[in-house]
Amino acid sequence: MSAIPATRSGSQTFHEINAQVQAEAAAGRRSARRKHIWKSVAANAAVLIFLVFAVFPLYFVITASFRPGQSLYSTSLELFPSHPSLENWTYMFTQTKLLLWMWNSLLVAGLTTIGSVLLCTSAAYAFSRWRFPGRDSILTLMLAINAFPGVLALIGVFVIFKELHLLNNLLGLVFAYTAGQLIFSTWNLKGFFDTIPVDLEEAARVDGATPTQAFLRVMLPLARPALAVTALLGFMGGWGEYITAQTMLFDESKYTVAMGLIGLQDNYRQPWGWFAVGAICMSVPVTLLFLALQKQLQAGLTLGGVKG
Amino acid sequence: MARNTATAGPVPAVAAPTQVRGSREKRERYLLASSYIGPAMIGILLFSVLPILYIIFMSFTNRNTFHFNPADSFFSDSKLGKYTFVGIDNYVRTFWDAKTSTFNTDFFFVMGNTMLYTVVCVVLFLVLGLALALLLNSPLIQLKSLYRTLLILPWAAPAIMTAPIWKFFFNSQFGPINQILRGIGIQDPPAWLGDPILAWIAAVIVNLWLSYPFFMFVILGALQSVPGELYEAAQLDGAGFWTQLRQITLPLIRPALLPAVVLSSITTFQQLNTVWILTNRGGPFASVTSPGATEFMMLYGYRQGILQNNYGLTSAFAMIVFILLFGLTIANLRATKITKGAYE
Repeated sequence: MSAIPATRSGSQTFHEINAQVQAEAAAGRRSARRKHIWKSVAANAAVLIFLVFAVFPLYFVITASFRPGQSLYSTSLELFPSHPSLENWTYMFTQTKLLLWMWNSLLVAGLTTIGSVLLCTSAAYAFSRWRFPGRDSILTLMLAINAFPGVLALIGVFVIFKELHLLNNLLGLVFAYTAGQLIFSTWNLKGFFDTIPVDLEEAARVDGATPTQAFLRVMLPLARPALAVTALLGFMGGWGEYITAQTMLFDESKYTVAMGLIGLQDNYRQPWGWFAVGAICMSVPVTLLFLALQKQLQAGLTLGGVKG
Repeated sequence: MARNTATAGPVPAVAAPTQVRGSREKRERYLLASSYIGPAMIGILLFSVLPILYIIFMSFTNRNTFHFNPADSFFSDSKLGKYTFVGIDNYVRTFWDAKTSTFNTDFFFVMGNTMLYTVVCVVLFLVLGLALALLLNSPLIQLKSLYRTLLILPWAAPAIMTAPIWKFFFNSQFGPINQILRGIGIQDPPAWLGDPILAWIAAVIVNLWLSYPFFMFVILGALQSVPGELYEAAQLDGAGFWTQLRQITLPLIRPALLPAVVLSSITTFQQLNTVWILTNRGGPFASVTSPGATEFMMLYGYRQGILQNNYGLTSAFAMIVFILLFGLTIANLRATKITKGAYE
């Protein structure tokens, strides 16, 4: 804003000039504020429009779970179910093994989380802090394995499972899922450790701590965001996976929740209501974890060693 | 610190005098390092490396429905029921159709289609992730944490469950998308999954819905480390929004973005479940023999190979995809130097 009033007659007193300057400055601020408000409205509108795309499918699933029978098959959009019912919910919890499947998945996902946090953290720390023969080749080899189309290696995994007597065994799935997490999470954690200055451990070492004590007491607390990401990805990897479980498990009592729910549909029926109930039950634990860890998530995804 | 020398911790004050003390100290260091990485390496070796080695072995055999068990002698002539060594036959057959003496056009079509799909998807992930991250980071927006929480939900919902739901969304008769289109007066909305181009676009939309939260979070994280003074200085110099974006934001978040781009390019290229469910195994199909409009690399490999028990051929196919993706990864890493510093 111009500091000098646009029109000024010679006879104005200092106070008059000052008042005019301030009035014009205020007008400038108002117009800037108005511009800011419009921009803000536009920005909020953009986010809100996108939110519809992001959330509407999820909202739809929730309402679908309360629609009885075939009422989902309507040609006009119904935002609320016209005759809400708990039919699908009671069916899923009394007539299927949903609770057992969820328990199986929880077991597998929980153990995968523990396994991947333990293995990845120690390996990532060693890769970040120590130099040993083969270190660089192992890091590159891990990236190479990551490029292998995992689904097509399932035949190989099946053979290994058979040799180790892990077929039709939930523990076998835990091993396979943990191994699946190792590469991404080790690289991600190593990247995070790389950003933590070594001074703190040096101080601990000077005070007489062993390398392992320095790792456990000094580094781990600092790496909490990256540990949270590792745990979250481990849980998700074990909780929602389908194809490996489908290949390795045979008994219905050992099914994971994804297998059980996919098994509900066949070529002749698409039981959307049941499916919606299952999808909600499957999403709740992961969503809660996400909400609990979302602050850490932002800081903990460092991907590959360079922090932006 | 010299490479290939195991030293327990980058602690020069402690490490320097001990280094002279010979091989016992050194051996202890190696032991310590191996005990840290050992368990992870055993896991990778057993469940990643061994299966891959097995696939390499199988890619040189004619193992399929008719040759299922190992022959007494690996290099003997092929007999019914036994699989034997066939050299690089499977690799050749992936590219070349011996019956007609022409290139296997299906393979090249699927590969080109998958590459196009990957590029379109990843570019959209980036644009959308960046736009949302900038919006959530800007002072223009209120209720930031509410928005962020809601925007993360597609990531939290298991993809194996959301794929069938999206399939219902695109249903031409009962799907909500066409219900909305009819509601706003479009009398004859398209049969999304029945049209090759629209089905392809539907796959992109679903993949975008699944993947934008990851990019949004990576970019949000990276934006935290861009110093605010840079923008203040730029504003004083009269730089507008686009100039600030191009000159400050993008160069500074680039290091965090590139690994995300490489990783999600690989996962998009290797996508199977979501598209398999959405478009009913990669359809719509123009004919029984030709690949479908959304039959991307893994769907093609899975349908042609595993479902028909052509294990030898599928293994060669897997190796070709592997070599291609690994080559692209390494080329990308070299070109962008994202691992620069990671090995030091």
